[in-house]
Amino acid sequence: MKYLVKLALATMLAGLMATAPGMAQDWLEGTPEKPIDELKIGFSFRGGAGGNQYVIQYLEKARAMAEELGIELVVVDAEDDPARQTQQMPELIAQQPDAIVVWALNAAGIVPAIRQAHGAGIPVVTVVADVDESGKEFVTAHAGPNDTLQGTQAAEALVEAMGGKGNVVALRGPTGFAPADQRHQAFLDVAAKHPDIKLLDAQDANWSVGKGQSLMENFITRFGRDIDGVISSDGYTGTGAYLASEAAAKAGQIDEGHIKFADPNTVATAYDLIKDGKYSAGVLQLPQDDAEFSFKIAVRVAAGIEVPRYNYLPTPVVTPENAAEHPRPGL
Amino acid sequence: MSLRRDTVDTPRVEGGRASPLYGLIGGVWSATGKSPAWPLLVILCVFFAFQSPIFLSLFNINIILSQAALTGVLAIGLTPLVISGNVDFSVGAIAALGTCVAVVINNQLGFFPAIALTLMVCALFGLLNGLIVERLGLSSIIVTIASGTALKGLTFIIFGSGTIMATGSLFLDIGYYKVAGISVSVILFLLLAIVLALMLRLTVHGAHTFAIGGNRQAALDAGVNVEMHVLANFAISGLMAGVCGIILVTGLGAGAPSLAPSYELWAIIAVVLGGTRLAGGGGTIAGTVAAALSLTVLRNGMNLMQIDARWFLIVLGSSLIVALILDRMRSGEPETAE
Amino acid sequence: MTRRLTELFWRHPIIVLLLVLLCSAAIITPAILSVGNILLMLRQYSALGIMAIGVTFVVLCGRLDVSIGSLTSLVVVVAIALHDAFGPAISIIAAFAAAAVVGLINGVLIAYLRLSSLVTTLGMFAAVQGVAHVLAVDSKKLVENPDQSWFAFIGRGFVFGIPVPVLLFAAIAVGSALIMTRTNFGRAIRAVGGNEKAAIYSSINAKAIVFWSFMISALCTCVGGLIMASRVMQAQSDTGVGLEILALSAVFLGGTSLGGGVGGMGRTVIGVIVLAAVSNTLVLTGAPAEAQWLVSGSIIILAVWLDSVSRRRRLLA
Repeated sequence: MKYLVKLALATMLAGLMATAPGMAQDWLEGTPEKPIDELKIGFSFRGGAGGNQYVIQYLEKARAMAEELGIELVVVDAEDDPARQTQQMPELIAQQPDAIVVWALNAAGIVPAIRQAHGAGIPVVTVVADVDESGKEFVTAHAGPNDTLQGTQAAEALVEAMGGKGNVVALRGPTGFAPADQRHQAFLDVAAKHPDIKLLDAQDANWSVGKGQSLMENFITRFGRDIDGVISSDGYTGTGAYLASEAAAKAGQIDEGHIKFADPNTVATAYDLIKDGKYSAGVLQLPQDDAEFSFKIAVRVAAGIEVPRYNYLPTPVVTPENAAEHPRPGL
Repeated sequence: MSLRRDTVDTPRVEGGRASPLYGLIGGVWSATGKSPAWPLLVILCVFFAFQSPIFLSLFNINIILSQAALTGVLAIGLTPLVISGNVDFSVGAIAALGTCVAVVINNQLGFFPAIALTLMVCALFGLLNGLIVERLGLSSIIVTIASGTALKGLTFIIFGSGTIMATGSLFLDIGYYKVAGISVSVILFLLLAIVLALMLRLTVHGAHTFAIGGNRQAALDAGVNVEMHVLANFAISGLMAGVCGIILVTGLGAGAPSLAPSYELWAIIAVVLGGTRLAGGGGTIAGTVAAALSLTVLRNGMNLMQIDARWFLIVLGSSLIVALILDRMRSGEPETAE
Repeated sequence: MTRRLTELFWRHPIIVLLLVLLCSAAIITPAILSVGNILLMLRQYSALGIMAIGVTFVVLCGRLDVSIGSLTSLVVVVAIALHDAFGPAISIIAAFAAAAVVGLINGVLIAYLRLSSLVTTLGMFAAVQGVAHVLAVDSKKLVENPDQSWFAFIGRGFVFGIPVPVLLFAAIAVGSALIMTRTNFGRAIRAVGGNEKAAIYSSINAKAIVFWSFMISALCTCVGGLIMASRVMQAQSDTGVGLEILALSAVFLGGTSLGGGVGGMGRTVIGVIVLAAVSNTLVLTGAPAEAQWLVSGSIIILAVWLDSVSRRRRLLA
């Protein structure tokens, strides 16, 4: 009897092992030029080890995926310095990877580096942040969230919650950083379509809870009850703004529950607020999903399989109604 | 009346001044004894050479040197200033300003006017720092921290927060160009290091710099125009920041106010790690160069070993402190309060 | 009359500067002088103010401490990481323990091994920030149900309508001022800062004094960090970046000079208020962050210069 059980287990195990590569290959949508586990991928990582949980978790997921697939992943960390990121490209090229993934810190400054990689015959995949026009011809594919879309989704949700009219304050992300700029521009475009929506002011909150909080406090001092809605650049900022408005409501400076909040890139605290109905909407962009999605594109490129030029991660809108269906973000 | 000269780096030659080359070699030699940077550099290189086969390749060495050139240029520009007893925390902001000026002027007037104007503007800003410190009699630490912050704001306000791309390919072409496998920026860095080292060792300005740093009052009493020399050092510091900015543009093909983040901190760490005392009066360019190289080697090596970048800060901070302790144990001099 | 005013100005240029600042701010944005806004302004800068007071002890000894920003990051990470698992009390104790370790290391290296304070704390600045980053990765990053914990009271609570951080700032400021003026420790600090050798000859244990000044700086930074942690209830490991520059700017703005034995807590408080007023005014008028840097940088130079002139005038008078 024991022997039979062992035999059954062994057969199952063998079966699993036989099908595992098959399972992994479902998403490849093509035949790789060489076995997946012989691939080597270089990752020019933007760094920012501090503070930014998204970045940290993205890298963790990418590493986990590489390990799962048996791919060698070489990471160079630019530590938030665009000059360093460009200078580190030769380090990656020297490793002779099958593809180089680039998460660019500066859309224009990364172009010389990408050109170098392209010149060395290594396909380049840009993730999360897109590069300047002048560099686009050297990139094989881009994968990541569509920040313009996210910004639009959040902006439209906010406008709808506000009934199409009212005054809005905007808390932007780090100025000069493409995703932040795109989200803000998306909001401006949406607001332009609604003449009764007025933007009171926009300030840079650097995707930080504390900054979002203090800026919102100052907005409340300036505009008080005139504020009807807040569009933030990400969930952290929005959470900070919400905290400030809650405190102000308790102090009687504004009316409780009057201000509507919506922002892209929902984080755990914002998710809770949405579930409780205190927030109008958020947009789910989990670093794990982002990393997995983009990494798969990179693997396909490295394996010589053709991919579309632009690949966007689906980012669903989270509302109080559908919040329970979506997972709580881990950041 | 002879001037008290601090470091004895030029070997005494009977019957005349030592030749510049001899003086330079002698300086480098004694620098190895003075600063903790050289042994550190050697240890690091040996360690990483064993960890990764790529480490000692010409390709990787060029990468290390090019990366070192950025903060290295700032650090060697700071060295004469620190020797004369001051410090400049605004060099990062000046370098960022330099990138913007270089690109904007290049797009309007062309490459060479861009270089000239960038160097001028940056040197002038260094001079401004110097004037505030000397004429108003204020601490250079406070003044340059404040002026660096103010300049950062000013640069953002003037040039906007986005990146400005340089038209034409001259900057990038220079960035790519290599002589015997070594980038132009590295050669520039080493040349400037030699020039500054010679300046410190052979010129009157250099001698006075050491004297002022060693004992400012004595230098004043000896009739040295302290203000002029300190101003010159501040200008040099600004000028080198301008060079750093230009090198940045050759690498990126663009300029932005947000570049060179915290570079001044790394530069100062390199200066101190290289054996130059913050209190003034002693130091070597060679030590600074070795320290700048050590920092870059550390980072590069850790990258090759695929150690997470987070650990770099811890390793860096600890090595700085260890280097200080070793240096203290060797020299046994009590540090003055500062 | 004008003569007396001018004299008054030169005796306390910073205070006059502050008043000028507030008046011009009031003209631009009347809202700035409302009680609510003043309390808000003070609350936003209380954490920094406490840090500035702590570091004033160090500066009065003639030393510098640039590791306080990184220590803030570490405190925030530690406090938030341990809160849900062990409760607010333990997390606060752990935060103080971490700060004490940093203060201890700084103190030993600088006071007893006589290393340069700027460079040592620069090294600690890097190392401690690195530790904060490393710890932040695998630890809990936010507090669930922040409203149910008394930890929130530190940063968000009110007592008689005054925010708790402001009360803490006031208490620590007053306490520190009393230490400086009424205790032997305070006098010893001034002595060490003024002339260290002379102080040693007067049988003051200069090493212990310097050691404790760094300890105080670290502990004050811890309080500031806890306030910040309590406000956001999340751990972002770059919370403290740039704070050391701000805190030191406040100290120098107030007129305390490096080790001249000149200066004090009152001056630091004024420096903090000036910084808060500048920042608040600029934000209320809608100016971008960059303008704040430009204005605060220029004001610091102006203030430091005015103060040095005023000191020289008093010497000559």
